[in-house]
Amino acid sequence: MTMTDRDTDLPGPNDPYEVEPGRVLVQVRAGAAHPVALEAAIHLAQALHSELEGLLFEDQQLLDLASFPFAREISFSGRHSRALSRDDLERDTHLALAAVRRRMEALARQARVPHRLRVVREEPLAALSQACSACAAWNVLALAEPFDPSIAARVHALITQLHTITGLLLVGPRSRRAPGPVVVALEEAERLPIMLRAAQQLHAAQGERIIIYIIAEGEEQIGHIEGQVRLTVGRQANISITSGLTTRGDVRVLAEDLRRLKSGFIIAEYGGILVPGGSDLRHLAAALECPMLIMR
Amino acid sequence: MFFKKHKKEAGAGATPQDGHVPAAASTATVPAEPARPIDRSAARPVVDPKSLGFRTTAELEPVSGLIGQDRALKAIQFGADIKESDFNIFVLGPASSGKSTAVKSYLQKKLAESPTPPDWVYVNNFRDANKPKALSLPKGRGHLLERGMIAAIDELRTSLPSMFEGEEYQSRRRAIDEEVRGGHEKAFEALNEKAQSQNIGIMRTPMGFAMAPMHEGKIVKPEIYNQLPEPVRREIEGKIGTLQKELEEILARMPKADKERGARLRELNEEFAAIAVREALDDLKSEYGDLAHVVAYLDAAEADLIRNVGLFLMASGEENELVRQPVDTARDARFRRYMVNLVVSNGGEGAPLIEELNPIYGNLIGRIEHIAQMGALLTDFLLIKPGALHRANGGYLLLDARKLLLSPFAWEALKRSLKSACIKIEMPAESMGLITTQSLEPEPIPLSVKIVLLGDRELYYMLSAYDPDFDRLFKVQADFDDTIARSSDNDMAYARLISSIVTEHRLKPVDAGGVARLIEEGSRLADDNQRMTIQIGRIADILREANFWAGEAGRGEITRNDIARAVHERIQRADRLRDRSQETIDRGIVLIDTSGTKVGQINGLSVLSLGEFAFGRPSRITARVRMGSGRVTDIEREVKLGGPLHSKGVMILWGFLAGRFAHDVPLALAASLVFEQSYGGVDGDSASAAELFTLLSALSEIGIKQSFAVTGSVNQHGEVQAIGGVNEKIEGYFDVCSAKGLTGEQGVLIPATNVQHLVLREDVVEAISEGKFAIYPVRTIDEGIEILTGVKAGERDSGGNFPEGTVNRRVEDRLIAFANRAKMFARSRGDDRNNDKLTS
Repeated sequence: MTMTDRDTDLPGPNDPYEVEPGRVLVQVRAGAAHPVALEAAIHLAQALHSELEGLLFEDQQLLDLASFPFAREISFSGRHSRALSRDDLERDTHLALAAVRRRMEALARQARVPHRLRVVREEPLAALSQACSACAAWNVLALAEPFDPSIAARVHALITQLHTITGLLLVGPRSRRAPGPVVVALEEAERLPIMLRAAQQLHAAQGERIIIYIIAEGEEQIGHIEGQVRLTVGRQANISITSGLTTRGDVRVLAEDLRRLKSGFIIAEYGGILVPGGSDLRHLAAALECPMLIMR
Repeated sequence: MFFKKHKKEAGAGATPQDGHVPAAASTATVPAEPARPIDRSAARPVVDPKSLGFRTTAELEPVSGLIGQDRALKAIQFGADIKESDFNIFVLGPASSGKSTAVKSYLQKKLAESPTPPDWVYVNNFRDANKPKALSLPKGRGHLLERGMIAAIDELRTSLPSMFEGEEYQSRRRAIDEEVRGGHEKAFEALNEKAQSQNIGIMRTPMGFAMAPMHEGKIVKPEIYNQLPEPVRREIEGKIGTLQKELEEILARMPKADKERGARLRELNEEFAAIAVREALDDLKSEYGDLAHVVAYLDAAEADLIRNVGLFLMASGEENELVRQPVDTARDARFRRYMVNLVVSNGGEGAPLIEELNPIYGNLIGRIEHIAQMGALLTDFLLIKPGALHRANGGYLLLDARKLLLSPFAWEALKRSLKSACIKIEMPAESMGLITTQSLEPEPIPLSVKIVLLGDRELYYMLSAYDPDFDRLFKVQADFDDTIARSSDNDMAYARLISSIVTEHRLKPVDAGGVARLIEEGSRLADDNQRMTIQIGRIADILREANFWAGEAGRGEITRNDIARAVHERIQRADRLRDRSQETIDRGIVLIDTSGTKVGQINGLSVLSLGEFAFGRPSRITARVRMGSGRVTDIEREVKLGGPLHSKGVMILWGFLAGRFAHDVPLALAASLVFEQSYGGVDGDSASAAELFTLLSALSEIGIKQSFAVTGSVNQHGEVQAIGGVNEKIEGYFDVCSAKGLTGEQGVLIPATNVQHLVLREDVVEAISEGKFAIYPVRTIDEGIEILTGVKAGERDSGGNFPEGTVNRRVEDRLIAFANRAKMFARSRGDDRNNDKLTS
């Protein structure tokens, strides 16, 4: 693995952290960085008092592709195409990553988030795995590219293969940074404390309400979870509870509910009704209008 | 005669001399009897309180309008009644004559009979926002439209977001999204699958997409690929080429599909917006169904609302964060274009009567205001502000002509509006290209207004002479007189006028003595003992002041003494300069003799005006004569202190002398005339009689009694003519004589035709009745010179000669002597040219 370190504001080995901090890892691929994804990652790191590590990938496979004499690049609009050389690709990649780096540094400094950014020319899964194995209380992986159906399969791979990540931060193609409540999409009552704690930290950072959105396939189940939630939450002015009834496999209704709640941030669990493991996440991706933290 | 700073007058006398004159009769008529001084009854009209027939004004019914202004009131009535747009009214007359009150009083009565004009509003022009539309609505409905539009927008602020958040809209929107986006994705996925099936991978680069052979989900390394047989490599490259073309086609289709999606979404938005918008505007449309132009506006607003429904779905950014209260719709910048600018609201009954006290351009025609935003000046139709013409449209507009003319652009704008019969708001600076900023061209509003201009006579005649438009647009002149004739009926009317002033100002009632004194003062203000002033403002001023003094004296009624005191105190407050002038004479700084006789010297009289206060002052006039080439030197004129009228007067003297004394001999006279100790300009001809008396005295070498002062103008026939300011002149000389001591010999010669103007101060009248002071009315120069010199003027006998020893004989003899000497002088010098000049 080739690493180009460039670092900056991370504390040194003698820094007196009483508790080892968590870490938000940001995976950035050249030309695919979504501005809202970058902002959401910084915001999450700030809210959770964690450090941020940005892995700026120079995709080796792309470089291999550009080595073919017949390699051509077709522009996003489809109106232009050109012969693609390795040199051209390296230059484009370098410029794209440099722009992302500047943007991330500016955001992290502004949010006073300790950060480290490095360029990695390695197969992404391996590089992420190695980065996660470095000591941290927890790791949240933020994908800086929009969560469109084409990468839904990669989400499953990341969750299942990177055992050391605690959560995955995604933004949809239509996501925008806008104020709104932090929505906890709760499907199992026992997951509430950890999700609620994350929500409260986000709430403290952005000052919005918390909505606990209970998802279940039957009224009885909703009632049960709601009872548990009320027991745990008690009467807190800034927390409200709502629910959504659906059948497994059809997340369109839930996605629409989330949109109507005008949420500013969603916390959900992986492998449930809303984010089913290994399934088609197209409807969720299309409806997602704000960042979503998927917890393992 | 007037000083340019002071009004002035003067006179002089002389004695005859040896010589002979041919028989050419003098034309001046010598009266059969010598002139006699006037008695006290002619010096001041006295009103007997008992003749008025009431005790106080409380017993009188106040007059409802003006007195003695029938002609002006008829003109106003005609001007107000006639419907033609160019028959506007110019009310002319002196200040404080009650013009404005009279006009308003008459027009107020007419207003109720006239129809109420419509309301006018400016609304946005949805086709061209720079040209706002003007809508006319029946009275009172402009305000309703304004409120109705606010209510409709308020309703839409709630209903539209709900509608667009609703399940139905969202489902249909999702369907469109799905259809379009899904199509892309499906095509892309199909291509991806096709590529994968052929072991080709599609990868995203920083700038687009690229394809390469794959094996087990990864790009084949180039070195491995190169080991493949040539035909296999060609086949793979062929597949990649085909897929690339397909990818290009898919990507190229995306913008078109997005455009189609946009169009379909727009249609969907408009479909849903139309439901809410029509519902919100339905009530308004049915309410204004009788007004096609308003319905047309509402239709345009409806279409615009449907097109711009996004305005209602975005946050205004101005919401109150604490209470989450939306800002007032009327103040929300997003909805300004749907608001209504009510420029004229005629809620009441009848036509409007507007008086614009500050008729500057903007106040008259209206203006377009601007708001500074980010360094630029912006405006819209809501910033159109109406002018007086808008408010008075359909009624009457009163304007002060002088103020109007002094306001840049206002007069021209008014004329333009009247001629075009519409109000077009244009900013003068913009139309002249002095400011370049965003501006508007509001639709002109039809104008039907009667303009009433109030001004003085000079202004009227000046406009009439110099502005060709004026006579075309102001065809009615209402000329207010400033005096009325004295008669028992008019005295009674005057008393009622006083009563109405008392009522209006809540003053104490005036007793009959006070009214009588006020009538006398009215004559004094009119400078005529047969007329009275009807300048209500000045009468009211005296009354209010007298009311104060009556209060000070603890009286419940205003008496003669209070009126007299008010008049006296007003003079006292204004006569500092008179005192200074008097003092310079008393201390001998200004030389004025009031006794003895002097040859070629006389006391002339002038008037100094200080606002409403004027006073007279004597001036010494002297004349010197000698043999010469026939010229009277007016020293005032030579040094450019004499005005044209004064010069004219001096030339008339020459005509008189030549006509009476030099028919057959050359007038070999050189004379100089001067106002002594005069340092300002002199104009007017009222000193010409005094100047002639001085010349006659100098020629005849007969002294003039310095106890007299003289005022009056003279013509070439020696007739003494009327002058102005006779009362002030007499009083001015009386004050000087009083200060030096009244001897009973002192007095003033005035033109006989000025006796009717005498309204002298009471102390002067007292002195006249006691024989201490005298006023001599004279008709001719001969009459005057006899009084001034005590020597007969003399008439030509049948032989054409004046009697020996008379003034005229001595003047004639002196002139013949000058002529003879001049002739001898010319011969002795052999100077024929001089001789010719003398005989010419």
